[in-house]
This record gives sequence, C-alpha cells and structure tokens, in this order.
Amino acid sequence: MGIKLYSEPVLEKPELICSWPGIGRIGVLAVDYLRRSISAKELGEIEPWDFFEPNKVIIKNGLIEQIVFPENKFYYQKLNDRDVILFIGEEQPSDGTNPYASGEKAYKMANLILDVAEKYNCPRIYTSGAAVTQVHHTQKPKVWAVPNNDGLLGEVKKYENTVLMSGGEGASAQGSITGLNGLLIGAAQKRGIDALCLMGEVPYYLQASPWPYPKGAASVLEVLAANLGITIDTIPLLEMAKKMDEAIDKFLDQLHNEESVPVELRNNIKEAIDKLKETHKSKGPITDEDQKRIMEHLDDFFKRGEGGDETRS
Amino acid sequence: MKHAVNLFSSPDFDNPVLIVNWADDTGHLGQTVFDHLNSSINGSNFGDIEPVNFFRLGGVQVSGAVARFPFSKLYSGNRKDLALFFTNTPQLEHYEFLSHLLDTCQYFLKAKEIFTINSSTSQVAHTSSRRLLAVFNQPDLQRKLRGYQFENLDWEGSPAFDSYLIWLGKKRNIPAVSLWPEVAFYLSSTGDPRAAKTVLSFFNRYLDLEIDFSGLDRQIEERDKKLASLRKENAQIDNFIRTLEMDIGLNENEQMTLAKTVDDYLNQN
Repeated sequence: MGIKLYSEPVLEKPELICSWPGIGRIGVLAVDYLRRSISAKELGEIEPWDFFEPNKVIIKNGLIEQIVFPENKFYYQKLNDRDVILFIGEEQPSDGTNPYASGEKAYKMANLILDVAEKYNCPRIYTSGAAVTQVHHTQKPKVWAVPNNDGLLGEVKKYENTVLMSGGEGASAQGSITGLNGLLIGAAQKRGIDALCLMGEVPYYLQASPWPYPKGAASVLEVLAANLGITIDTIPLLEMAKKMDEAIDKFLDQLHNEESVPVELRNNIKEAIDKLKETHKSKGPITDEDQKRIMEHLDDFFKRGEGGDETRS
Repeated sequence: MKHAVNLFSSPDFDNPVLIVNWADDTGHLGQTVFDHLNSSINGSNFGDIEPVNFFRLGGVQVSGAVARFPFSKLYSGNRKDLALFFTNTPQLEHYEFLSHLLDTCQYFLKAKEIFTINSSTSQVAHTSSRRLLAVFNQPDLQRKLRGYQFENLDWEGSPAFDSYLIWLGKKRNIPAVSLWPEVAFYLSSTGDPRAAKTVLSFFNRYLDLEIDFSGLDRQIEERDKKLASLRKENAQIDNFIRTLEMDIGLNENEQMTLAKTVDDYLNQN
C-alpha cells in the first residue's frame, strides 16, 4: 500500500489542493476544472488495493485484460506565482455503509497525501467540498472556510464572498466537516501544516440529489484562483450552472404538481423554498422543522429515480 | 494479520492445481463440486483462513435450522497434484483475503494453476447441455486448455470476486482461470446438478480423477422426472421450458413465473 509517483518534478513550495466526490460534486468539479484550466500534468497515484474494491473488469475473448479501481491521482503544474499539486479522488475510502471516509483507512489515506505534501514542502493544503445551507439555487453561493489554525483566520476574513464558520451571517462557530475534507486538514494540523477547507454552498433541498452543483464549484474556484494569483475563465462552468438551474426549476415544478403529495404539503414546500430567495442573507426564518419535513419528502422523490440490477463477471 | 492463515499439517504437494469453490454461489454449485472433488481424493482439511477481518462476526447466520459460521478451508487428499479451497465469499477486506490465499498458493503450495468455479445464471433449459464459459488470466493457459471446448467470455462491467482473484494471480504470474458453467435460472435456488456435472466432467478429464458420478446422475434423473411431471400438470410451464429448449429467451414476467413455480414445486415434492 502506498504512493506511486510517475515523475519527480522540481516544484517550488507548491500548494496542495485536494478534492473528493461529495454533495453536488462541488470539490471535484472545482479542482478538476482547475486541473484542465492550468493543463496540470499527472504526478502519481495512491495505490488502490487497500482502500477500494475494483469497480470494473474488462474481459475480451476469454482473457482478463484489466481490473479498474477508483482513481486517486496527483497532478502538478508550475505557475507564475507559485507551483501547485492537485489531488483528485474518485471515491472516499469507506466501510461500505457510508460514502464518506472514516476510520483507519481514511486516516491512512490522509497520511499518504500528507507524505506527498511533506516530500514537496507544501506550505499549505486546501480541501474543497460542499456546505449545505439555506441558500436558494438562484443565488450566488458563498464559500464557507475552515482553517486548521488561528493564524489563518485574519487572511481568510479578507477572501471575497467567503464566510468563516465562526459566527456572523448566521453561521455557527460549531460544526463538523465530514469525510476526508475534514480529516485531512485535521491530520495536517497534527503535522503542523497550514490547511484550509473551502466549501461551496449548496441548497439544503438539493443535498440528496444526484446532480452536480457547478454554481457552488465556481464559487470555490474563484477563491482558489485568487489565492493562486491566476485568472480562470469560469464561463463554461457558469453556463453549466445555468443549465442546472433550469433543471432544478423543472424538478421543483414537477414536485409542485406531483399528485401523490398532499396539496398542502406541496404548497408549503414551494413557499418555504421561495422564501429562501429573500431570506438567505440573514439566514431567514425557515425553521428546522420545516427543513426536516421538506427533506423527508425530497429524499423520497430523489430515491424514485434510483435502482437497477447489477451484473458481475 | 500475522496468523490469518492456519496450517494444521504439511501435506506433501507437487506443484498442485488449486481449485477454489464458493460455498454460497448460485445453484449450490460450489458445494456440489467441492463434495465430489474432495470425495474423489479422500480429502481432509489441513488449514484455514481466520474469519476475523473478513466476515462480520456480530453473530451467526442460521440456515436450514443450523447455525453457519463462516469458513475458508484448505483440503488435501491422496493426490499431490491437487489442493482444494472451499470458502464463504468474504464480506470485508477482499484484497487482504485474496492476498493471504495467493501467498499460501505461491509460497506454501507452490501451485502451478488456480481454477475458480462460479455459476453463470442463464436462460437455458434444464434438459439442455450446459456451456462452460471461461476467463483466463494468461494466454498460455488458454492455449493449453483449448481442447476442452470452453466458451470464451466477453464482459465489461462490474467484476466478480473470481475475476479479482485471477487478476491478482496474473500480477504474481500464477496461471489462473475462472470457470462459469451455465446454471438454468429457474434452478438457481434449488440447485442445478447438471451444471455441476458439466464442470466436474472437465476436472475428471483434465486431472484424470475418478469421480463417482452415480449420486449426481441419480439427482439429475430425479430432477428431470419431477420437472417432467410439473410440465404435464402445467401447460404454461411446459410451454416456457419448450421455448427455452428451442433457444428462445423468455421475457421478465415469464422468467419470474417459471422460477417461482419450479421453486414451489420442487420444495413441495
């Protein structure tokens, strides 16, 4: 079990930016978009055997050609102001019941990533994911930031469109960051490496949806680009976000007209979601009970689209 | 980890073939094939893989009114060229489990080949002959076994545990093949003795064993008789099976009706 590096480039104090799939695929969308924008090159990978099950086999004419595992790859690029290493994981190591990393394997993976960070003297690590909030999907998502030491707080406060999980704008100073996004900045703290988790907002009513949320990814990307001192054309990402907005509007209309749901409940859901358009800035009056009730129904609605048989060979 | 593999004795092997059977596969194929192979070599258990780390041990499964503790056992008998591994499919830490098995295979047994057996549920009539599909991890072994009329499998999708095993074997340069005899889908829960005989006939010939097929032949005959009675009693079932005998597939509803009716009938008779 370990890291396999394809090359040994000389990098000047690169910043490490990591992502894994999660709600709205915000982290992966942002970091993969960055990878393509800066034409990052492959640096290496974490060997998958101890972390993941294979998800595909290719058998041709009776011969096994390949077994495919979720990829966990490092990329790098030398930029004008600073160099960068990216890490994109296709899956989080889990116990099979939870899609987010936890336990010994997750900690092992976090430490393998930190080994690469130390090998290249990375002064800073970013992780990126989603913050489920009462934002409306038509609003520009903010970025919630959590640094792993007090020394970073002053810097983070200066970021555009960013909220610290430390009060203000209705944010709570308490909370947790699930999976490797949280674990990695925690393990980095143990090794004395500065780290920061950037989370793009995603509307709470979409947290169970299987859709990507590019608008949240664009917000994260803006913060990352500013910190790296680069300009990134986010127009394609925002165009994708516009299409998603249309799909979300259509979905909410469909839900509002769903006859199997009592009319009163449908109207309440619509009203509660519409209310977010005006109320997000002050973390408005939607109650936790309202949120729970809406989510219970939306979960059912999303699950209807899931299922299907699996075949193996 | 250190004592995951227990060896109770050191049988004398001479680069044996290792045959891996799963105790929980479709059509009770693993159990039937293992019983016949083990009986043919008068085999006994000489080692096992500890279940800790590989199975959820929060209790014990009860099946057929009996508690069933997960097992992964190695067997040897009166042939130096054959070892058997009979196991439940591990629920956890698949890579580690397979690594232990392959370590045993490579360093203790010094096995020359690995065979795994699993079932390929198929729209085949119980009266028809069964194809034996195969997946090899090396072209040399594929060429060596060309005369046995395997059908080469093509597949791109989710991997079976067998595929994972032979792929890891390939990385260690251990020749391996997974065999997939066709099992009639409507016999997948009650057992398909004809499918078992197909794969056992191959081993009988390849390894020059003296497998006693009399019990299996009786099972096939009895099964055929029972299903012939069902066909006489039920025209719809007769029609479905006749359709399969003509190599024509059934739709999903027809398959479900046939499987349920056959299950109920065989369980009651």
